[in-house]
Amino acid sequence: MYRNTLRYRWFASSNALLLTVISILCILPLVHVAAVSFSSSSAATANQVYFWPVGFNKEAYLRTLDNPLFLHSLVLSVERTVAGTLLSMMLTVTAAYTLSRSFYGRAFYSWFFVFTMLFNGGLIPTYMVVTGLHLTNTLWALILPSAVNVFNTILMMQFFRAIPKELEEAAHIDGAGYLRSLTSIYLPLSLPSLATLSLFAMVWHWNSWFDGLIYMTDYRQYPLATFLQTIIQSGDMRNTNIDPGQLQVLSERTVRSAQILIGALPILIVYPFLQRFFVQGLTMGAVKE
Amino acid sequence: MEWKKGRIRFIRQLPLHLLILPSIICLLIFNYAPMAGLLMAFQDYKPRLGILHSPWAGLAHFRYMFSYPDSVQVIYNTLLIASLKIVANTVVPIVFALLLNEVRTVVFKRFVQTFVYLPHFLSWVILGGILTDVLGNKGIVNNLLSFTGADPIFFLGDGTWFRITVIISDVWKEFGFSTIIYLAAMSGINMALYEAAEIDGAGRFKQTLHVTLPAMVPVILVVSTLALGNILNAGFDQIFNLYNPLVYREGDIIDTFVYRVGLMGGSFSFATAVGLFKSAVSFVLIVVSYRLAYRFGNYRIF
Amino acid sequence: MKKRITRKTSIALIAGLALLTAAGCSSSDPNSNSSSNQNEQGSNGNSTKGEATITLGRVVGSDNQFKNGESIEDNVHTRWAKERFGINFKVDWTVGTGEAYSTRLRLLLNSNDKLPDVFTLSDPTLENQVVDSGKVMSIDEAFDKYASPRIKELYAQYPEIWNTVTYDGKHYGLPTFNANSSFSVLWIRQDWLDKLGLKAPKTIEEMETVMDAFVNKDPDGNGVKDTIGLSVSLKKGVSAVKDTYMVSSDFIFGKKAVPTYWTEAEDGTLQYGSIQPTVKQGLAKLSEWMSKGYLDKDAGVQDEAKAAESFVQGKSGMVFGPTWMATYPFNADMKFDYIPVPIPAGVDGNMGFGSEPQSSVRFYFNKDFKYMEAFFNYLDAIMGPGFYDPESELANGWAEGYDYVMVNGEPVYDHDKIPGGWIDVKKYSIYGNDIQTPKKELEVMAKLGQGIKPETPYEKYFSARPKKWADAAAVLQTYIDDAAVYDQFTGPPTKTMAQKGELLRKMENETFLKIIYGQESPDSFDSFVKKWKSSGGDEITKEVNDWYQAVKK
Repeated sequence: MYRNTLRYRWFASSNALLLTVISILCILPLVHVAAVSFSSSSAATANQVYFWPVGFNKEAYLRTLDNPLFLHSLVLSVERTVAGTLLSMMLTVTAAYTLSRSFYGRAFYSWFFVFTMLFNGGLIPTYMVVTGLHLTNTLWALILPSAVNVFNTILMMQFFRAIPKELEEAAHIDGAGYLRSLTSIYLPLSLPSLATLSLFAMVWHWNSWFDGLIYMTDYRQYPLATFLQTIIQSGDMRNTNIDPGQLQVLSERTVRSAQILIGALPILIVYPFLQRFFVQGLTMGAVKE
Repeated sequence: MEWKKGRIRFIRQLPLHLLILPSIICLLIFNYAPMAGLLMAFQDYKPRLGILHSPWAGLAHFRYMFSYPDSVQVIYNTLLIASLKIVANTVVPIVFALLLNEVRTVVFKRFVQTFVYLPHFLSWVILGGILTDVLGNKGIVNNLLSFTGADPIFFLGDGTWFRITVIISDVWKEFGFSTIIYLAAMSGINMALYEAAEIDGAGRFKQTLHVTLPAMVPVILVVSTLALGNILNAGFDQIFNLYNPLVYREGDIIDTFVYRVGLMGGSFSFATAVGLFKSAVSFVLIVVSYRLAYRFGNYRIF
Repeated sequence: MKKRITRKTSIALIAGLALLTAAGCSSSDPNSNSSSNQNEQGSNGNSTKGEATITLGRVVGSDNQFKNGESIEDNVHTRWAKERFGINFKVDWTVGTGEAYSTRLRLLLNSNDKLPDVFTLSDPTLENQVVDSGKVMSIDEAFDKYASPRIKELYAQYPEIWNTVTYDGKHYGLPTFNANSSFSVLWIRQDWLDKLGLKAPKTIEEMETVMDAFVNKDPDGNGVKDTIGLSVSLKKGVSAVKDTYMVSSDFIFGKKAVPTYWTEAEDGTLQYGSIQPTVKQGLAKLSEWMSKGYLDKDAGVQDEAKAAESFVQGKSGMVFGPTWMATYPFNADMKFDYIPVPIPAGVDGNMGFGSEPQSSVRFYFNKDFKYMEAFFNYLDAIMGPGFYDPESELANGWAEGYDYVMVNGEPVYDHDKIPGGWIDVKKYSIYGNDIQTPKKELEVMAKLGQGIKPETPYEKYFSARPKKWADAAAVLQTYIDDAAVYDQFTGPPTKTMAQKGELLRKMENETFLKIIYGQESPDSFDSFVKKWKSSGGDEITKEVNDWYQAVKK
């Protein structure tokens, strides 16, 4: 076994060291952000916080969590993320499966998809379509316009292609149709990629805030990411007659930091559950045989 | 005869068409319909008149874009920064995924993976502040450099260093997130291939070279080709939060330029024209790489 | 509130497909959106005087709080407006941020949707489009008929405020005044001055002496040369409050010309500040200071908040900025002695700095809006606090039990004494804030700074502010009228500005910063001026003056 060679062992330990250093470099800024979020605002304004809170307090979190709209926006965000991810993955899987077959019209369809990745009409026309369909103030305004994720679809198609054709042919002989072979052969064999792409879709839905801002005409119906934006952008900046109180809110580093952590936390909690699927990939590959 | 064959084929393949239909409908409504807005690029768009009645301007906005004294520099900056980002953001995650793949301790692997994926969630507003500190004249990086006797480097105020900073910090922020795709791709590799290679006497490096990498090629090709769609997107949020007049020459990109034109009362039409130009360039590049992959590798990227 | 797909929506989806085949997107059919509105207007037509419905879009940020089950549509202030003026505020839509408010108005305008009856804007480009769309009305007649005497008097006193909304001699919006009470003073380390036996500088030369001592004589006594003389932010170029809201450097240039500001020359025409000879002198000074270490080497990459840090941390001797810096970014944890002092005279020998504009926000009125009389009555009442009128019914506060309580006949603003918590009621008003009048706030604050005992409700209210803020106001009041320079071009960007403005500004910022950093000699300023003029600057100057002549008529 290669693993016992001296050279490999040497490689393995320096690799471990390298990965540790990189991990630390990645986590430090977040630790800093967390420390700032728990610091007093004067310490944060003076930039005197490094990796441990200075003048510990929870003010920044209270301001967000005590807001009566917080819970509602969290619920809306979960709804939006779950519904949006489900819808998006359904479309991704069906479209990717189709595009991974060879059939008449395939090339047209794939270019039809790719084209939309590159060209878009911009904010105003999209807004007009969404309002024209009376989707404003519904969950649909947040999930339908982005329901087809072309990048995910093309990736999924790639993963489907890697699955040996023989499996499907065998199924076809048994009389299974396209849908059956998709659900009983392709999907079970694609758990790692499904997990990965679902994660992408989830993160996207969880983080997007601009669509909430323009498609919800009632501030009480903002999803979490949009709501958090109102915390840090805040204020009635129509009145650019500069108001120090507002400025303080705007540039409040503690609140901004807390906002990042509150926004990212739910995704970070979900992550390890999905991680199972791609970290243990190697054994899954073995199972496949 | 022919049409009959076509019809039979169509009926046989009908389920496939039906499976993709919902996606097609969504794209038609939410992507293709708004593309009517692209007409603004050829108009002198006035809100009062709308897209249907605004006067035509032909290619005036495009001509203006290229007659602009700075446009060559700005397009060059964008291309340079974006393409270096594309290369780095492809290579680094692949190498990292390969290195991570060598880790046997599952817990360690999971921790590393979680940590490197965290920076994705930080915004450039926050990171801009952190970078200004860390890279400042009295920042930690320059303090470390001073031990080696080097002069302090003005990372954000010197053009070349600005570009390097922009690329490295972007890779740092995103590589962990991108690694996930490659890990998913690796999970599909058949273990039997490794065993066969081992029997042939291949060491781990050779196994990686001859088994792991080839298996990842399809995904790498797709991801990097689709990344070409960003060949003129060098990252607005990042540059906008970091740049300053000292690095306009080397750091100004198309999007920041369009933003500033907008501040000065520039029109929707101009912004749309620039956007259309960017899309068209990306589109051509993607078509070309698709063709090349097909001709030389007999491989369909999508 | 669960949202499910309704039959209506699915029909709409199909309809959308049909639409698509026709002409791409076009929901410009105004009927689809305003049917409810039409009914309402029908009933409005018959309504008696004293019943006025005003539809609005509202910003409800996270700093808008509610109690007693109230909302933005129904609260203590809207009930007051209804009772006093017969006004029903009807909220068409709400958004969470000010930025989203202009985005929504932009979208409504571009998709030909209905604009609210009354709305505010603060972006001359967008305002120009709104007026151009013909969807707003000119207000001259209504203003003459319904505006209260004190409002008329105020606007007559500052006629140039109308410039932004003037088209062909008519006024298409109602500008509101800024407080003009905060910009700007010099904050300086008194303890450092004392230690080094120096006095606050009055001229650029004295300033250099002070900065030299601050940098080289170790004023913080830690044995390390780690202090700077003056904190400045140059990330957005050499600019005044328009672009850099604090920690700017414009006072160095004096009064004759402020970079980026258009001011009236002796011949009555407008000239661009950045190309005047005094700016060259100022840049040369800044460059010298940078090389001598008086300024932070990182000033060019620091934004306002970042540049202010050094002063807050006690590492910088001076910072230039508004009086309210006493509340932000300064704070009670700064355990050293710093005071506001008058700004030194600039390179031209005069005190001068770029002021905030007279007006940042304008009201606009939908052309179908009929209740101007009710609006102006209401406006006069809510401007009471802005006039600092002791007789105003809002003098003590906006609503008792919300932003103040009466204890023994005295208003009390202590948040803990208000049952159910303090609520900022002025945010419920149509403007979302106090509507200020010029320099009135400064008068009140300056009195407090001079140590006069608070008498009027306003003085009592402001006495809760940090003492240093009041001190700064007292300092500022002594020279604001002489030193404040206003940008007199307040119209929408001109044609050449839209085409070449970005290029010129970029060139300006780049040249100025390179001069300051010593990468180019101050003489490159001359070639910049030449290039500025030939690359469109001359045309812009002409257009700006055409505009100025047109609005002055």
